[in-house]
Amino acid sequence: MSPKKKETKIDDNFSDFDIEQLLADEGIEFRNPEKAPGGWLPLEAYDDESYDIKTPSGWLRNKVEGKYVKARGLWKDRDALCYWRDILITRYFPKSRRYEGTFNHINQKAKLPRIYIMFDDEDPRHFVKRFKHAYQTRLYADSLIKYNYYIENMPSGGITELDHEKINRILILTQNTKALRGKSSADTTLLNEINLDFVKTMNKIIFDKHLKEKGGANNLIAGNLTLPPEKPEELTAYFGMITIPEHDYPATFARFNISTLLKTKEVVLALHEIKKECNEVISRDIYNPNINKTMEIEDFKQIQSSSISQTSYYLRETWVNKIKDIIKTNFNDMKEGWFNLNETNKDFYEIGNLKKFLTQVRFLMQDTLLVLTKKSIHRFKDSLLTFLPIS
Amino acid sequence: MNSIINRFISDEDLLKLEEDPYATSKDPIPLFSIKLELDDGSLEPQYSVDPVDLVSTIMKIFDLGIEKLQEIAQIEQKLMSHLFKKEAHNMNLKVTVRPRVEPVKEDPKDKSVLEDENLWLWEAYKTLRSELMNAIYPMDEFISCELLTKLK
Repeated sequence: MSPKKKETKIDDNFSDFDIEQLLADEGIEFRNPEKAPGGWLPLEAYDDESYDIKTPSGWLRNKVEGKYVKARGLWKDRDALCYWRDILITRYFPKSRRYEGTFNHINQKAKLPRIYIMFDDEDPRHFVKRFKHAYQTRLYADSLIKYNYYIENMPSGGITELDHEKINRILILTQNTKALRGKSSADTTLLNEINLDFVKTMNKIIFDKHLKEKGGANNLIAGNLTLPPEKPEELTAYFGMITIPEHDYPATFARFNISTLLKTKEVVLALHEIKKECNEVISRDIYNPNINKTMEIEDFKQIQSSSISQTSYYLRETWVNKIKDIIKTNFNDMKEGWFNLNETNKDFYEIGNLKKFLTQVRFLMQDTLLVLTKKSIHRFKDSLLTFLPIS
Repeated sequence: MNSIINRFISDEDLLKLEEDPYATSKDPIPLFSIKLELDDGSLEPQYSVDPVDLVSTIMKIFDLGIEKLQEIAQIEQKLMSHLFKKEAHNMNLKVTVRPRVEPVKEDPKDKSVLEDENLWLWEAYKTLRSELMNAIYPMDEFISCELLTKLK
């Protein structure tokens, strides 16, 4: 079960919890990130977003007076010590995945990743779980990097290499094709590579044995490594096939056939091409947001109206007709049956698969228009707001 | 097990990503060029375009873009026109419509109240209009400022 699903009921009164105390109780070093084990790695890279109970826009939906959302953020002082302080979050940058806000106590702007922000509406206990998960995963990553680095750099001299018998077996197996038979040009490089892998594996066995026997914090070679727990070995299946309970295959297959449209090549191909056309629409703009010079109001009107007319014409004529042609081309051979485009009986059409297919296409087109509208409106709005001075 | 996607990016790339093409600046170039004019015999200068008209023009363009999308026909009508002769005029794709009154918002206490699907558009319209109105206030102050009074 994902962490998101676990979090179904949340307590509204979270102000009683002290986030610093909760983190400290879990043994998490947040005060001095450089001292934290694996602190050289960015914690946000190990953040598991499935812990989040809302999307970024969901968090920013209920802004106070439409301006900010209250949260606690990890603030770094001049001595590089970190404290959880009140921050007013104003916006989210989807590309860099950072939230922008202002720290209340010093009126300082900051851009923070989600892992360093705890919203006031968020359950601190759940947030601590998320923080701890990222912290622990980073610790494992740090140890694995060191572990692999040690093994990679172990001397290979004196380690047994592949013996002749094994080499011969490899050569017989790899050259057992028409194209490679008798040719030995690639042999040396390939064998060197295999030999290197073999030596590394031997070194790994030696290193693992050393860790096991002399592991712990006092190990002079490896130091204190916190490796992820080993996965328990899965039992090999006794049977080659899986036994499944008795069931009515024909009935299940028939039910599936009724429920899905994706059972004929024509439908799959048509949907694929339609989706391609819809993606082309999404890349367009209703308005013209690329304004970079001063102009008369009439010119502005002209530019925008022309952009709107062009897009509207494209959608009304080109887009719709292209989709129509795609369906006609793909369904041309289906003169009879459920996808008959020449059906004249409306009752048959209403219960048929063609109706279901066209409904699906309609939803796809409407969804495309919604995405296009949202994108265009935001770009138009933002492009105009750039001309306003900061108040 | 939760799958982790490593999204680590260098500081340099981060800066590039955050280069917001729409970032506001302290001294932006003006969007519209407006003249100060003196009518014959008058000593009171006037703007060649009323500042309020600037806002209404932009908002009309905003609406025009949305309205133009309401004219796209459904594919069903185009393909099966022989079955939809009567309904031909009403079969357009459903698109976003700007609400004329404030739409219903989600009510956490009453789950039967669903958020209006066009709420986002209402908010975008409201934000843009109020930002533009705020931006034209100084124009009134400018025209009645001391310097121009002296010129008179």
